Formats: sequence, C-alpha cells, structure tokens
Amino acid sequence: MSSETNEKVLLELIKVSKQFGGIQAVEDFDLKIQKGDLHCLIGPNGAGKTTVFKLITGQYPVSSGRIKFKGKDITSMSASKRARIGMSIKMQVPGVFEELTLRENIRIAAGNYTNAADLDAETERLIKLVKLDTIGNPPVRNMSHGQQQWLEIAMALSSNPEILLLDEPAAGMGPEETAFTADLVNELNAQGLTILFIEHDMDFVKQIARNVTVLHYGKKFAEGTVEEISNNPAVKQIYLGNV
Amino acid sequence: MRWKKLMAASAMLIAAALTFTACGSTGANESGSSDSDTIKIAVLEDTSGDNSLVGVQKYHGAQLAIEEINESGGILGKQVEMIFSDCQSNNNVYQEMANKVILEDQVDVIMGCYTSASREAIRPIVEENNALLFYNNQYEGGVASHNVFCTGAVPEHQITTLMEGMIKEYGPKVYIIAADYNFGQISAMWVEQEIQNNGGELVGEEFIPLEVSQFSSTIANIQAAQPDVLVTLLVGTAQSSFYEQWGTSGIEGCPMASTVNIAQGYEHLRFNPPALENMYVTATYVEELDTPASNDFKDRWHAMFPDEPYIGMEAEAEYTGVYLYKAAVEKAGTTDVEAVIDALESGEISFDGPAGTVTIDGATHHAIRNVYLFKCNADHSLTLEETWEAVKPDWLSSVMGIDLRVEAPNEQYTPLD
Amino acid sequence: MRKTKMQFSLGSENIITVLLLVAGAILPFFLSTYRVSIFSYFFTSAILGLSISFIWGYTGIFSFGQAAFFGIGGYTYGILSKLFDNNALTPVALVAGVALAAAVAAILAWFMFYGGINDVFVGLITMCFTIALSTFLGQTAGSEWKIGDVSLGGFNGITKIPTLYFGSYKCDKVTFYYVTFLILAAIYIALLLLKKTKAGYSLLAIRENRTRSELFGYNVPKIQVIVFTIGGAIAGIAGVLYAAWGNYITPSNLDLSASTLVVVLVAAGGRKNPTAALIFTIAYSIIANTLSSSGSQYALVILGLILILVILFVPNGIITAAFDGIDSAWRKFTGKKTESEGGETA
Repeated sequence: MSSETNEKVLLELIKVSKQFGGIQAVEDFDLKIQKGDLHCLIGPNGAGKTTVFKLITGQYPVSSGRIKFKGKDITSMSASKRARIGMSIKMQVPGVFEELTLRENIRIAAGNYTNAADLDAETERLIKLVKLDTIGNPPVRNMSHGQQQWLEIAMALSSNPEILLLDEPAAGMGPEETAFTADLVNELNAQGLTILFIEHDMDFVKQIARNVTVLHYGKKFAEGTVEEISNNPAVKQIYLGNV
Repeated sequence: MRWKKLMAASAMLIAAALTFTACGSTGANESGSSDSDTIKIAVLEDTSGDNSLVGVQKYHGAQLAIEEINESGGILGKQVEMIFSDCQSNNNVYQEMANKVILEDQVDVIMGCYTSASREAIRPIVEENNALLFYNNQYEGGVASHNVFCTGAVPEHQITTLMEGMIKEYGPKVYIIAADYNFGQISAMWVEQEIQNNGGELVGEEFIPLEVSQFSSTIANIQAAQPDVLVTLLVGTAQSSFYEQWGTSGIEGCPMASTVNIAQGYEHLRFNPPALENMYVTATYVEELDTPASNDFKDRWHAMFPDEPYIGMEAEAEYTGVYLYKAAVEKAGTTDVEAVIDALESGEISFDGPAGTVTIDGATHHAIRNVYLFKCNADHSLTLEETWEAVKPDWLSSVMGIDLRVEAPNEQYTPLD
Repeated sequence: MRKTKMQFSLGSENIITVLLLVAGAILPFFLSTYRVSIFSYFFTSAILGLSISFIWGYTGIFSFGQAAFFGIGGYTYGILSKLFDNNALTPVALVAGVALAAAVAAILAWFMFYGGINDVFVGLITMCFTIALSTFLGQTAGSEWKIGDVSLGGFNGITKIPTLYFGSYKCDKVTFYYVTFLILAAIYIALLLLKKTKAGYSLLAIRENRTRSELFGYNVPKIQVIVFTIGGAIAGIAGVLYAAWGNYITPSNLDLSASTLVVVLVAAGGRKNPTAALIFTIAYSIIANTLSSSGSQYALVILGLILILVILFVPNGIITAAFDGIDSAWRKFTGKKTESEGGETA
C-alpha cells in the first residue's frame, strides 16, 4: 500500500467477522472506501449488509477483525464517539422522533454539533438542504414516508460528517421521490461528502453509484465499478434477475 | 375517539359522585366546630387495609361505649361526639389525621392506633400539642409519655404469666419462633428473661421474616431440639400457615404458647380445626370468657353489631379505654388535658368491665388488669386454665425507675436499653 | 448552558403554571395552621412526583425505586440530626440526606446503565432494590442496629426527628410551608425551563429512541446516570422534608407500595408534563385526606377506582388531556391555527 492511497482511504474494514451464537453473519470482510467515493453495498436479502453497517457504526461489536476510520483504529470505540468523529448514518427504518415536530427532530440531531446560538440557523439550513422548507413544522408522524426519509438524511447531515451511511435511502418511495433522492445523494457527493449506501433497486444504484461491492452469505462476492458489476454474470445469477 | 372521551368524562363524574357521597355519608362525622356543649373523642383506627380485622372491632368497641355513655347522660352532663377516621393501616394517614383532630377539630382525647409504628408516628404530634392519647392495644411495652395512656396488654401481663404457667405445667425446655421485627424481637427478649426467672432453659430461637410461609426447616430444627414448650410469636397472613404445617409434621403433645393469636385475630374461628389444637394464649380478654360481666357485654355488643365475627381483646381494650377516660374526666371535673392526666395519675381511676377490674397505674400510665390463660382445644373451643388478678405493668417503674407523675421522658424504652 | 430564546406562548399550561405559583405563595393567608401544615406534607409528595416526571417523563427511565431514595434522604436526615443533637446543624443533615440519596442513585445507575440494562429491567432492578432496602430496615429492631446512639428502630422507625432550624430559628408550621413551597417551586420551574434547552432535548431524544440517539452522538449511558442521580437527589429532598415535617420516618415510607403509588399518580396526571404530575399528585393528596377525614371506610376503594378509570381512559394523563382540550377549544374559539397546522409560530 502506498502512502498516497492511505491518505485517500477514509474507511477501512480489515477481515471483519461477526457471529451471532452459531450463525456467521459476516465473514472475513474487507472493504476500502476512498474519500469522495459514492459506494454501494448490494446483495440478496440476508446477505449481511445491514449487519456490516451496524459494525461500522458501532452498534454491534466485531467478533474479529479491525475497523479503521481516517487512519485510526476505531474497532473498540463506542457508537456515540464514532458519531462525533464524523460518521453519520441514516437507518433503514426511519429513526425519526415521530411525536415531535420537524424542527424539534433536527434540533435533537444537531444538538451535539452546534452551539445554542447557531442552532436555529443551522436547523433552517438543513431543512432547506433536503428541500423540506415548504411544509411548515408538522409533527413528523403526519409527514409522508418519503419526507421522513429526507428528514432523517438532514438529521444525519447535522454533524457535518465525513462519511454518510445510507441504508436503503429509496426504500418505499415512488419513482418521483426516488429520483429526488438520487439527485440529493449526487449533490451531497459533489459537495465532497463520501457516501456508502445499501440498496436493492439496481436502477437507483446505476443512477448514482460509482463503485459497488456485492455481499453474499456474509462474504464479499464481487467488487468493481457499476458497469463491471451490472454486467457480471455471476452477480446476475445470485440476484436471480434483479439486475 | 369521541366515544372514548365521553366514557372518560362519565367515568370521572361517577368517581366524583362517589367521592362526594362518601364524604357526606357514613354519618360518622359532623363538621368539627369548637362546641363546648359536647365532649369530642377522636377515634383513629384501621377499618381498611392490612389491620382492618382488628381495627373494625376496636372501632365498634368505641362506638358501643360512646352510645352507652350518651344514653345514660354523657360525661359531666355533656353528650359525647365521636370523630372517626379510617387510617387505612397507613402511618402517613395516622399523621395527617392526628394533626387534623388535634389542630382543626380540637378534640378532647384520641382513642387510637394499632401497630406500634402508627403510635410512634403520632406520639410526637400528641406530645408537642399537649394532647391526650389512649393507646388501647397490646404492644411490646415501654412507652413513658406524659400524654399517652396504654390500656392494652404488655409483656408484664402476658409473657410473665404465660411462661410461668407453661413451664410449671409442661417443663423447662423452651423453643421460641418469632416474627423478625420490633414486636417479635422484643417479645422474644421478654420470653428469654421469663424463662430464666422460672428456672427454664432456652433450647432454640428463630426469627422469621414476615413474608415467610414455608416452615419445614424450622420444624425440623424444633424436632431436633425436643422442647417442652414451643413459644410462637408469629404475625401476619404468611406466617399463619405455620400452624397447619406444625399440625401435620410437628411434635405431637408439645404445646404452642402465644401472646398474639386467638384473642386478636380470632384464628381459632378462621382456621379449620384442629390447626390450633394445643395452643395456649394469655389474654386480657377473649369473647369466650364466661363471667356475668363478659356475657352481658357480649349481649349488648351483638345487639348493636349483630354480624360481628368476634369480640377480641383489643375491642375490649378500646371499650374500656373510653370508660376510663370518662371516669378520669368526672374525677377532674373538666376535660382540660392536664387536669385529666392528674386524675389518671392519681391511681384511683378504675373501670369494672367485661375483663374484670381495670385500673390505671399512675406511675407508668399503663393498666393494672387481670390476665387469663386459655387453652385451645382440638375443636377450637377455648378452656380457661388459669387466672392472674390485677397484674401490674411495673417494668417501667421498678426496672427503669420511671415515675411519670414526677418526670416524663417521653420516650419508648426496650429491655435492650 | 446558554438557553435558546424563550418563546412565552400563552398556552393554557403557562397560565396554569403562573396561577399555581401565585396560589402556593398566598395560600397560608387563607388557611388554618393545620391545613397549611398538611399542605407542606402534600408538597413533599409532589416533589417526589417531580423526580419521577424528570426521570421517566423526560428521559424514559422507568424506576420503581424513587421511594427508596426518599427513604434514604429521610433516614439520613433523621439519624444525623439526632446524632448532632444541635438544631443549628439540621441544615447540614438536610444536605447530607440529599447527598447520600444522590450517591446511592449514582452507584445503582452506574451499574445499570453502563451494564446495558434498560426499560423493563430497570423497573425490576429498582423494584428489587426498594424491597431489599425496606425489608432490611424493617428488621432492624434490635439494639445492635444503632448508629451512635440512634436506633434504626425496625418497623417502628426513627421517632422525634427534629424539624428544620436556621440557626436558632425554628421552621414552624408556616415557615416550614414556605421552605417546602420554595424548594418545590424551584424544582418545578427548573424542570419547565429545562424542556426547551439543548439538555432537555437530549433527554427527549433518549426517551424516544435510545439507539438512534447514540448514533446522533449522545453518550446515552452517561446521560442516564446523570439523570438518575439527579432524580435520586430530588426524591431525597422530598424524604428529608417529610422527615423534618412529621418528625418521623419508617420503612413503610420507602416500601414497594410507596414507590408504586407515586409512579401511578404521575402516570395518571401526565408523566411527560411536570405541571400535570404536580397538579394530580396534590389533587390526589387532597382527595385522599378529605376521604380519610370523612371516616369513610371506602377511601381506598374509591381512590383505587379513580386511578383505574384514569389510566384506562386517559392513559397519557388526565391533566395533560385537560390541557390539550382547553388549548384546542381556545383555538377553535379564536380561529387561530397552530404551528403544526402550518400557522405561524407565536
């Protein structure tokens, strides 16, 4: 490994494994995410994608292997600490606070990263970023599913992260909403944000990803650019026509 | 959603209605105004909650006494007004109610309290306001207070007599099992003392937490020690399962000796025979006491309370307490607290009631009264075995050197002090 | 901590807050000494209720242990004030009582929350703690259970606990009322102000979704320990004030039914809202006192019935529901739209 490559590697998983009791969910998984990448993690259901995300954020401890972020070993770092050093995630199930309003949600997310004086301005900035500034300040449970997803992206961005993990950002969205989400993700990446996301929908993946890693039964199955992977016959086979 | 709100609203209305009805009803109280045409007696007992089994009896005892007194002209020509509060077997409620009856209703005397904890909860309030409390209940003894008079049984009444009777009849080896809290621990200390005084021998002792209801290991220990007498000082529902277990696997022919059962919670009527067979109890009164005074009392009681399950020793103590107060007020010529206390301390205040003659001992503020040893038979009938007359509650005076006529420390003492 | 700009919206709740504080301040002028004294006692219950509102209503920690900290505060005050035998030192005993309650809470919290225990299990562990403590204290009747020459007293508890003195000035009935009222008011207002601050929002986040909050950078176990400790301190204050008021403390003040009752009262009033918890706790105390004074044997039954009905039909709290009802009726009346309906913020 050249030093030049090292500087550009933002997130690295080295032979990471995870067992739950007798079940091997992830096995010997290597992953290198370069700074500025728009990287997608795909694979059939149960392949272990969400587990990998939870290992990266620290929700699960690894069974073996190491995780490095910005060159530093974070394998035993707590989840809240990882969140504070530039790692952000939007979960598959919207982790928004449903009983609270739109602005209260952002305020909570931004609370650890913005001081009280700037909080109001920062809240408005984030709302504008995901284009939710026209709907007033409703309780989140009254917002549509798509709006909740964008809200959560806004919340994930409140820490000004260096890497954003998105678990199925377009899940449950119609074609218009999906397109909007794709634009949003591209825009964020263009501004310099490294993005790693999980997706099922290959159309969506083709719209935005640059590099793809395929996961199968907890192991890396294939890796490459979007073009390489979409034309890979073995990948097509395990996906049984989803590609 | 609207239906739900409607239901909620009507539920609230019902609850409110119940509350107001309860407040206004039962006829137990009129509003407390400082009326000098009546004599006000506050009754603070537990007619709900854990202690209600005995609390209801005591409440009825006060009611009967007051009704009889009013019918025969009252005290000093004035009618007696009772202000009753159900203290729900809750010490906090005792405190609230004591404050209320002393400060707001300005009663002339309080008859009340069941557990020692409840008495100790209100004793400071009574003393601070120089009020008067009659504690008409069996307890572990030792209260030396200017403002408190105890008419119930204390260890001098029950334990000295019990151990004397049992060791004489059955033999010197004694095993004690007691509930693991104040009353059990202090009573056990007294039993140990009396074992020594009667030339007996303590062959075993166990303190049992109040929630315990399985006694197999305890019974095994008792079997191993082979006592002549088993002293049982068990309290509460859980511990009451002991008797059946003892009946099945205990030592046949070995009697149980107690100061707590039968006379208060009438276990001999509530448990199936022969669970309490061979149990001896020293009591200051039981319903089965067959004297003209006792039988007459029972008739009058059942006339007023036809459904009363049992008339126990605390019921009699409360009844007697009211009459003793009447006698003291008549001697003092006034309800002024200091004058009444002086009268009570004169040693001349007595009442001839269902339990025999009961006299207030001036130096200790406790009662000189008869003690009866009863045996519970296989069919749960009671047989009177022995009577001690005019037993003196003299531990405070002869052992602790206290004379409340001279100086009142306002403390509770135990043999550990 | 710098607060965000306070927006005093004229909601029904804020009006009520002001009314309550004014009412509390002038109450002694309208009531007999007895009633003033009884209200001091009610206020100690209310403070205990606020401790639950804080840890459960704000932060989602369901604890059956608050009465235990109440008891620790009360017992510590009782033992120390009798040991010192010096009225001028009673405030020291007060502080010690609060400090010990907080310390025990901190230790328990450290084990629980850093051990990853949450939700139902916190309820179970605090319940066990309460039972263990009250059982232990209940069997301390023997002479070996003494601290200095102050007996723990078993079920009879500790009696003749001196009331609070400032120097040689005895905090008698009315003075004690104001001491209790001021402490209650301070805690109450602090809780209300806390809601709109960043710290308040972090508690909210933890209540609503613990895992997600962690991923927003909140050190959840640390915050839970801090909150639980403060909750223990508040309950401890209530216990100290109670012991100084009644001059008496027993194990029954910190047993399971004491712990459970206060949780039920706060739930019935509205746990997320300190005003609701406050109003309902005091209202319940007044009703209970009135029922007991009336001599009715059905007091316990009626009180139980009221609580069951409230929890069944208005599970978010009856006082909270009342506030919402008044607010929406007022809005309908004035035709204003709320923020959430797209209207302007006040």
